[in-house]
Amino acid sequence: MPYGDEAGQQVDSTEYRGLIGSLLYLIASRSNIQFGIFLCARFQSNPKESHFKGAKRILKYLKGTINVGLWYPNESNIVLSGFSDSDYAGYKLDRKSTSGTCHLLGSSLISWNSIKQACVALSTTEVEYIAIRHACAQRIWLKYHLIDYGVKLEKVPLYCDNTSAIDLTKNPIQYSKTKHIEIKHHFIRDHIQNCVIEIKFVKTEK
Amino acid sequence: MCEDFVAAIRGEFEMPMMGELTYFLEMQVKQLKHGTFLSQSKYYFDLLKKFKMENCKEVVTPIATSCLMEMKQDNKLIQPNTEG
Repeated sequence: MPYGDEAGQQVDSTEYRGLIGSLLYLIASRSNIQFGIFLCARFQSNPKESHFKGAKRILKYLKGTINVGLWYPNESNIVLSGFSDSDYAGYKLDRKSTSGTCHLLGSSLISWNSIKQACVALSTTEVEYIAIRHACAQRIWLKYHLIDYGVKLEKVPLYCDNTSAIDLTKNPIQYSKTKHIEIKHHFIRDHIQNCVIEIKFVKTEK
Repeated sequence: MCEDFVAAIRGEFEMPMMGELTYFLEMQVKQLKHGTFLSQSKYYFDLLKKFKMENCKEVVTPIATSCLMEMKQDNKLIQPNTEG
């Protein structure tokens, strides 16, 4: 899908929005198409033929994998684990990165999201660091949610595939390459010190 | 626990008992012995009909894996290869 396709042919934006809106609801059972839909959704104000084609491609993709859904096994194992990852300057128009997080309770997927980061990141460490921050915020919400159900969890592992980002969460020293990172992203450090969360390394392939 | 809940809510509201949940808000729920399976295939097929794409071909990825960035500047197309 070409990004800002200025020269492309205009399509009916109501229909385009209808398609995006309908696809958004499919995220409820198909989290893997979330990134693609959010990408298409960014062109809603001025959709072109190429964007419409891109959005329809998601429908075509689903056709081959239609029997896939979410499986929630009966199990009493209540272990919460989180994962975070991100691309680097994946959105070619403004070079912002997108981070994705997901949380599993036992082996059931309970929460997932994909967020385009609000600022342009200078390094992969920084994007991953921001992704951890997103995951941590979600994790804290889940923690309070679980307390409502009478489940109290101690240190929860959060997996990330970037060791320098993990080191950055533990090290309060400011280095020249990281000191520009916005204060709000450092809130993760506080939660690590309070032992709410524990960041672990996981290989990208796993 | 389930029965207590039904009794409690029936005391408050008028509610028929329709048995096990199978379909709710376009979400298909299959309750099996070892767990629960959620899918939206019916919703998906309705969507295909709505956008007249019943006969579309399948593709293996939701978005194109290689794409060129096209930006027009001074009427010249610059097409850097952005994949890498």
